[in-house]
Amino acid sequence: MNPTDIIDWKIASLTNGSQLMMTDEMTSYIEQNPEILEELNFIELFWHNKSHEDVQPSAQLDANFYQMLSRAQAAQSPVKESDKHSTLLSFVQQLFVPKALVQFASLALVFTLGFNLNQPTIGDKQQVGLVSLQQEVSSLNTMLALSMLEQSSASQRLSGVAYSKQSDLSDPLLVEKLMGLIATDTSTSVRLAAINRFVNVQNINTYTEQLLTLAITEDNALIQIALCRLLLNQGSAELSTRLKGLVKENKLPPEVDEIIQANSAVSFT
Amino acid sequence: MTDEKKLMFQVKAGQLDKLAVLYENNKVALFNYFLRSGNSRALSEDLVQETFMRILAYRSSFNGSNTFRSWLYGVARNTVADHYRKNSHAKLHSDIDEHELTLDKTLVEGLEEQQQQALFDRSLASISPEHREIILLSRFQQLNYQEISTLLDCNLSTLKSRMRSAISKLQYSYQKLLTEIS
Repeated sequence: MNPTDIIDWKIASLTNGSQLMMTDEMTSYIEQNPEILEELNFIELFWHNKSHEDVQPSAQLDANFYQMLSRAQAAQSPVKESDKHSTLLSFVQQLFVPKALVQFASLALVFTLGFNLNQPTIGDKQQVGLVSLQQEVSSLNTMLALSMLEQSSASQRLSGVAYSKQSDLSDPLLVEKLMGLIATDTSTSVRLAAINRFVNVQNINTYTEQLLTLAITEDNALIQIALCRLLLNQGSAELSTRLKGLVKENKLPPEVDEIIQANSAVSFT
Repeated sequence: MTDEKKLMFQVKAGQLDKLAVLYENNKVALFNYFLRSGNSRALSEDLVQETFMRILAYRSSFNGSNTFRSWLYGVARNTVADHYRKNSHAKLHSDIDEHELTLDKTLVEGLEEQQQQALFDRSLASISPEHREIILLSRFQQLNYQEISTLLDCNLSTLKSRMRSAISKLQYSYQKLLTEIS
């Protein structure tokens, strides 16, 4: 018997949640070595200190989690668009969130723009005014998206990525910001959403090299695969060959090869 | 108590709604794990979100050889490690200053219980992250030795030795603080 055995016994009895019986040998040892009592009392005090109550997380955490879960479920089994506003209440609630108000403001601007475009006589001066208005709408959307992408909360950044779809990717600042999120954002869901933002972008070829570099330097397999899938969706045979080569050089995960094969199979059918 | 391993297998099989049950069972404990490890509230919430995001993404890798909790905290540890690797400039254990403030405040107020909590919190913050982690997993996350040894990839006797060392460091720090304020 030594002090170590006694300490082990004490911790084990506390961590297992059941008070293990102290043997006579232990009792005798403690009586002969009272200095060990101080350590035992400290452990007891620390373990049973009731003031160590758990702190509750904010309601925002729940909102973020359930938003993520519903997105995952939607991706698993796409729901009908009409089901999104299943109740009148949820529809009304959605109308009053700030994002909806911002979208409404943008819509109003677009409506004004459309109304002016349909006027029978448009002079040069009016045309200049309309172009300027169009630029204003685009710039407003980009500014809002950029502002949302810089928020500290992951869910707000996610909303920012979704909102960035309101504007094209003609603004280099927005592209740079999205690339930055793909490369370094702390949240995988934000990174995946940013990758998804480039799907169906007409001039995707402009970003191919940048996206490929990100895929090679990335160490999160999930992100790598999402990036490779995005690149393969362009349907370029040359890119497919390059990716195959990178898989062989172990610069990309082997799963990418399976995606390439699956993509080839789809394109041949 | 719901069988969490069974629920995780259901998530793996595609019943994603079961993840909500696992989340509700574990969110507070996980949040406090990150918080007690020295992360801010906002970051702790982001880390909880990220952990569950990864659980969803890597659900196919759950094989049930260990308990769900053991697997969950494994994912959580990787999440926090990745965060600090990616943000090497970020300040680790940013709440230490807050602990100091709490200690001063409670000393003035003379609230014994809160003072003791502040002392424990500050003692925890002062020991090494490795020692702190063992104590957190055992005392606060209530993982048993078997689960912790699987998580930390070490055998039981090594874990016991580390635990003794951690407790000893904690007690030393606690006594030192107690002497400083008395």
